[in-house]
Amino acid sequence: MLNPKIEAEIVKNKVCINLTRCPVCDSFSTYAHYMKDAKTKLESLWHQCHCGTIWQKDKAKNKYGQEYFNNNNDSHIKVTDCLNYCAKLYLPIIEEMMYGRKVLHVGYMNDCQKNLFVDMGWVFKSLDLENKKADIVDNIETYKCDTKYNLIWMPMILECLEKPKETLLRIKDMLAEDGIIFIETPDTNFLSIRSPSGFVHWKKEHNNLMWRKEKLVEYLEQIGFKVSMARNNYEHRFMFVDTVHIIAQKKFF
Amino acid sequence: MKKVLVCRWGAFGDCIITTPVIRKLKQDGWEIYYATNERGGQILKLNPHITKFFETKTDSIKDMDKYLGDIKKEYKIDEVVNLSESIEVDLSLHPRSPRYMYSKQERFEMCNINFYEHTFTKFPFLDMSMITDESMIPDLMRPELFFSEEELKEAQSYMKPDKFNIMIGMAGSGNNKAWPWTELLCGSILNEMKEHVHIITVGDVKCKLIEPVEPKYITNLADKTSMRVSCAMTKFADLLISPDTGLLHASGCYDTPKIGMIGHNTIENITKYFSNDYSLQSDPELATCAPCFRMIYDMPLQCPQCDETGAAWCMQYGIKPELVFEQVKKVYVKSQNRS
Repeated sequence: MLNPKIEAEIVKNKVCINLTRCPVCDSFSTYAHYMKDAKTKLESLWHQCHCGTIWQKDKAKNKYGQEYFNNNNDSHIKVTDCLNYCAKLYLPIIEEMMYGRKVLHVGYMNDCQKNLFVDMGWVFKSLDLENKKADIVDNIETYKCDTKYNLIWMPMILECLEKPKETLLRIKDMLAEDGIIFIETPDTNFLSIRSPSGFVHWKKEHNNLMWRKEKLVEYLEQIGFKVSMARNNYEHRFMFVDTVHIIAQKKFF
Repeated sequence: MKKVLVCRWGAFGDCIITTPVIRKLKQDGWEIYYATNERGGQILKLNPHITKFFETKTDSIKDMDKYLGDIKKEYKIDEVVNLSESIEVDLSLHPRSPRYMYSKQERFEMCNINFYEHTFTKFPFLDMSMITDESMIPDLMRPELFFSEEELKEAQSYMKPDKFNIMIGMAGSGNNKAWPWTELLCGSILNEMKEHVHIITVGDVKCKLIEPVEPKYITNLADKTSMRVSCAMTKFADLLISPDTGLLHASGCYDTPKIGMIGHNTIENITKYFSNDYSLQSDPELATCAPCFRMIYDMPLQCPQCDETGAAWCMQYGIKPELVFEQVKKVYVKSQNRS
């Protein structure tokens, strides 16, 4: 059981909570979460804005390299099923929404996911699988897009980006006129449903900024998307829980 | 001699399913160590093939890898095969599994596999070169149980030698396995063959509430006998009627005629290799959800239920009492012809 007094004392001695500006809505914020990972013992400081956005004081490294891919290319049937479930569930809905079949996969994946897209008739390109490094910021922000994609699939990647607002704008340009973006990302609404320590996405080394579902939907609508689905997920059938699944299509008429 | 550690935490039936593979391991010259829970311990007690048991009081272990690793190290085990959740995950789908949500057709294609056969696939190091003919498979897959003289004597004492002894299992580990027509079935049996039959009902303490009472013709044994004795009784009964429970698997050890009433699974899953099998599976025309191949933990949430009886749709409507009664008559007539 935590003792708030002792915890507060530790925080007081270790960190200084400064007035900061929210990277999403630009409001001032002094509210912070000081977290310590029970497994890795890594300590991290996260700011929270009243709009629900949570961002890390330090920038996440997000450098994984070949070793990460080798370790995570798990083909166990349970992992494969969970990784593929999102695509298996949502691709038929997306296919109904437009005709094109060119997909760009951004973020960690393994071969089984690629096979699922290919089996369903998609022309598949993956940033990270081809580069063999999950250096997302480099990949997506320096990616020279020579074609327009019909679908950009972003599972658990938005929260890793340093400048998600800018990246989303860039992704919009990479989409065809009726293109769709699928986003799976942590939803900070779950903080109040569980408790800060019960929220599973305090990943110092991976995550930079986490959105509240409503704010992300608002931003996507603002930059020219029509959000067809924004669904909270707490089911373990998916690889990640306490997330939001979003299907947003460019407004084309 | 090579050593293998087999682990299975589960219900009675789950442990019975592992018995054919244990026998085969022994035949292949393995020394067998077995880690299980209390129920598994009951089922496998007196099994001569097992060198040593590791029995836990709880149904799960917090740090399973460490627990098994320690045993492996201490006893210098060569192979460890953890069968816990082997069927629950692969063939009976957990609500947390994506496959739980797949279409009925997809689930059927993935899960309509015999549990006994599936267990063998977890032991790739078994020598199967001797199995040259398909006709050898039923013998290979036949489960086995071992009882003491006292247990067998007690089990036999509940039978009436001059009568056709029908043993009825009232319920299984899940509420979804309860068949609500038992009383009606007993009524039909007694109406037609009162003078020739003796019915024995078995089950846990809750089953006492639903046991049909007719002292002259029905012996009510729910909560009165141990699970081991109930299993031993399947050897001496002339017919066993039971939903998909440990009792049905126990009857698979013997040639006793059996009518399994299978709702959320299929005959292929359970009784395919049993001898004298008259099992019925839920009719998908009458209960369109069946077979679902799903693990049911919360019946009101997961199952369509009958408003009146609260039984799962597949058991209430999918297995008609008339059909079960027809099977009973078939077995009875056959036994009379034989005698």
